[in-house]
Amino acid sequence: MLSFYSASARIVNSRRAVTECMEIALGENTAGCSLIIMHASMGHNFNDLLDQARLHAPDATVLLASCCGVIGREGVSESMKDIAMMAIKGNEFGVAHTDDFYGHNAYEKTLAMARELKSTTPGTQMLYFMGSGIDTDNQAVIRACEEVFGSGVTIFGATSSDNMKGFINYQGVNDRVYTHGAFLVGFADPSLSVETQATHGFVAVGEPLVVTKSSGHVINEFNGKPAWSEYLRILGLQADSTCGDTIPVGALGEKLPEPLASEYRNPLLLRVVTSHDGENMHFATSIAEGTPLWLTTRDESLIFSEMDHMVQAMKNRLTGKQVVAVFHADCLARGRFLHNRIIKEELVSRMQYPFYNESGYCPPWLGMYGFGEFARLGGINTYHNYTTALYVLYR
Amino acid sequence: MNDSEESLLKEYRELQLRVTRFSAIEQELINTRDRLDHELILYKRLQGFTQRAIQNINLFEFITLLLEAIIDIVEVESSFIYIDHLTGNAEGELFQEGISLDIARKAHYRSVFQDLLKRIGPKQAVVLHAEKDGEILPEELHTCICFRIEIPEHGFSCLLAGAITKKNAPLYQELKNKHNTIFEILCNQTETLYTNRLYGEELQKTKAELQKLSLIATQTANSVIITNRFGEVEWVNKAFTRTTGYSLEEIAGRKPKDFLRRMPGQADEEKILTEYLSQKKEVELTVVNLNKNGNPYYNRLQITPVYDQTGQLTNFISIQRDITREVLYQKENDSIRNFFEAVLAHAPAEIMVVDSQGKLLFYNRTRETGMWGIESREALESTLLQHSDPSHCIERLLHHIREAEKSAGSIQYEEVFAGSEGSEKNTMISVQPYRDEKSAENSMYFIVTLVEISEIKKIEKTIMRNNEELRKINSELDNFVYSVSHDLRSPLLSIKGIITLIFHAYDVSSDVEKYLRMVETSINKLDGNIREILEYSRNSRLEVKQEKINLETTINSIFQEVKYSVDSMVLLDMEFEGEKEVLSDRSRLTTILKNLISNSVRYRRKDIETPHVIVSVKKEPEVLYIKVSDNGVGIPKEQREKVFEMFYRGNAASSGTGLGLYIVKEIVNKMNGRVVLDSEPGKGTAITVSLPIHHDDYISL
Repeated sequence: MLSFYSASARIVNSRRAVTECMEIALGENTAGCSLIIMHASMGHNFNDLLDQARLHAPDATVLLASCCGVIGREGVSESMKDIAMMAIKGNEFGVAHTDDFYGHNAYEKTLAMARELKSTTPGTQMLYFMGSGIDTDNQAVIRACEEVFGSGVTIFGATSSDNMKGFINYQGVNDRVYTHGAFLVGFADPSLSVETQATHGFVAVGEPLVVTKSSGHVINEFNGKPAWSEYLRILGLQADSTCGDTIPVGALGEKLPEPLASEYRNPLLLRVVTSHDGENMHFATSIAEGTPLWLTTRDESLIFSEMDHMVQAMKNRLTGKQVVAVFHADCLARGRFLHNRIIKEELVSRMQYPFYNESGYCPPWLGMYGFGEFARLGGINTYHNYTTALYVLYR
Repeated sequence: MNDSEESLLKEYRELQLRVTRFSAIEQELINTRDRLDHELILYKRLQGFTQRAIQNINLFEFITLLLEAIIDIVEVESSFIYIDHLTGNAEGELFQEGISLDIARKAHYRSVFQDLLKRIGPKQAVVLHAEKDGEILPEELHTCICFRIEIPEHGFSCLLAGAITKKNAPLYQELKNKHNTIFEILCNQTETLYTNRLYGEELQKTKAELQKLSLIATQTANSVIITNRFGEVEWVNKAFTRTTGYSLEEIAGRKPKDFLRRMPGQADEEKILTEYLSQKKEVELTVVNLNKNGNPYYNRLQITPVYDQTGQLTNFISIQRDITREVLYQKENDSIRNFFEAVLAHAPAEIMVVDSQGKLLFYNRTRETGMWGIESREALESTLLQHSDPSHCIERLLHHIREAEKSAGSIQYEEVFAGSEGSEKNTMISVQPYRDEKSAENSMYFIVTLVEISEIKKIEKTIMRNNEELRKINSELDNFVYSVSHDLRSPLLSIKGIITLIFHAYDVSSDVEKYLRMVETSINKLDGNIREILEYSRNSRLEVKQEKINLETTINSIFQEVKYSVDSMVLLDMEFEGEKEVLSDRSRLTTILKNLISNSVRYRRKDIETPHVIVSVKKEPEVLYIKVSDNGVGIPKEQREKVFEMFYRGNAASSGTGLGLYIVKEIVNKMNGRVVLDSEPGKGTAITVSLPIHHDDYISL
């Protein structure tokens, strides 16, 4: 039976940061630690992070993904030197990983990982995915996972990121650090279940941009014009703006069909652009020509009310269950670039507090600010952007 | 679409754009707010650094903290601290964080920062960019912000730097004025902290030293008095109060001579003190003071004048030690020493102690003339060779000292010294080495004892002369006994022969025969006595002679000869363990065996049918055991000690001469052996003789 322990810290020296987290999470009792999942912001030395974790837990599989900030039991932090960790004891899990993971081969690479996992880890009932958030196709990820494990498998996790520059991101597995890698963790503890949900709180503004030319996850034209220039023009940004400049203001919404829109309490599923190749924009999922995409703007009161609604709905579904750990993915645009520190901490507090146990302790919590989030919507595995997504593991 | 509709549509689109672009403007506001918020965070981090840095951390911890602070506060990828000549190293020391450098690269970076330290001015942050400063910076660096710290009074200079690599430059903000400002604040604070740290360290050292000195002065068992330059008391320690009874409150401002009285009769000491103190010179001497209660104590005092940097006298420090117990011990020690020296001086022997170099350490005849000619105490600590009278005796003594040192054992020898008027004095000299293991040097000394033995020599000569005379008399006596015995025996044997002829030639009456038999018995008895006297005489006169003897044959022969001297049957049994042949003195061994076997036969029990004699021989490599045992009448306990005495006979009815066992004992002694008797009346007697065995190579031919 799997057991979970978490920690987070802001420490400049990467090795000391890992040591600090290991001490917070496990104390001196590192024996039996079989899996370590870490998120760290871009200022860290990722090789040192892996080395130090393996030094403390030589028998553990160590996984690592870069991010823009972390959320742990200790609170939220968005600096260049953040780290958060979930240490897991028990053997009912399997890990598969890959390198050279891009949008054009996301399906094949994920399919290979899923098949490997199915053979090595029978009984896998939920998948934790973490992959490069730059130039990826997350719809393909979902499709490949479901093809191997069936649509009943719950996919949760996120895409890793940098500090909202869209420049580079890192994934690490044991002793290797990748810039276009991905890993898939299959949890096969039969006593364990997962509840997932995401929310954003954005509203559409004006007329949609219509995708007039696309290929897979690459948008070539909006409204018959070169996509990137038209996108910047409408947002009122300079022609030399980066993806990082567009992310806070450029959330694009895909219209959701009913009844998904009702369940989501929002008619739009948001998408982010994390990179572009000249005029060609790398969308987060496959996008068909003719698809209208609405520009959106955040609505603070809606963000809070939808957050409360999501957490309450999850609490209701978890009545009588014991929460053992929470994985959490938040869009990097929802951090310091969207809210000031007080509002951000208030939001985190409102999402964590309801899951506190009877003794008043927050469950083990591993959260990160990344490029995108996976969560079920209408019972279907879905990829989201600009959301807060919670994955509550319970028994 | 008419114009109005087109106009409306155009306005709608413009409005839509404005609404959309409002998000971007709003985002700019948010970004501005975030920057301000973030700067506030950076300043809080700076505050955090200062708070931690002022805590009591060591230099290495301080450097680590600063390295992390540069990264954390300036938000750069890596940080460097280059300290010039920190450990006397000409290259200086480079510390870094956030970047891994191998030895070669570290050397390169050290060289770069050493160069930068010379190039940039102090107190100002300088930002270097690869584009314009590429020749100065390491190739992989994109931007580097530097600040030089100088603390000239401590000869300290260092360079603080934060850097961003080209590889990760897109992830970091471009270094702007705000970075310069906060970096300058950080560096200035560091300079202040480090300066305080240096002063603090000096202060701590001084404080620690003062604390130690204070502790010594306060806790020492010696009395400490500090006076001003006029000699008036400013401070005394607890030991002073304990020794003298005076507290600081009582004597502050007073001169020690005014309250610390001295015993009368110390005019010399008084004069020395006055002279030295008036000249403001250091003085050390012992005086007898009286404490507050009037009790005297020996005070060993040292007074030192203290001068300031300008050479002006400021204080006197007096350290005083109550040495009363030491003085008393010394006196007692001297008394004991004098006693033993007096005893030794009157000892009949001359005793001296020298070391291995011949240095004289002690001599108990320094007040009178001894044999060695050392006449005064001043001779002590000199070497023996410096005493040339009598030189030959000294040389021989030194020779024996060397021998004793080599053998680590005592040596005795005789020496003749010249006496008065041409006479000679005989002496016995003993050299006894002695190692003082308690001394640090583990030194070796030699106790030389000289005893005059002239009188003993005289007596010895007389004794030797007497002994020689006695030996001569003994020899003459032995010859006399032998001659007499031999001469006596011849007529006896003639008489015996004549009696035998009478029996053969004449038919004598029974009465005559009875008388003749009585005469024959007396003759035999007398002959036996003479024979034994001859054997005794032979044993005394003749040297022991070794030859090969077959014991079985010898014992058998003796038994055959003896058994016919009695009228009843006696059985012989022999037991051998080892060889039957031995090397021994045939004559003596035969006499021993004959005496022992004949005793067993003679003193058999007549009330038993099977009297027997058992002769057991056991030959070991070095010893021959011969045991003659019987089942005869035995010897009462009270007689066992006496049977080996001359002419002792158990009772009047004994037919022996009383010399047999005496001769056995004498022979065994002559042959360096032992004889043991074991007997029980009515059961028998066993006599065991043990003799050393002589091997062939010891045979004296």
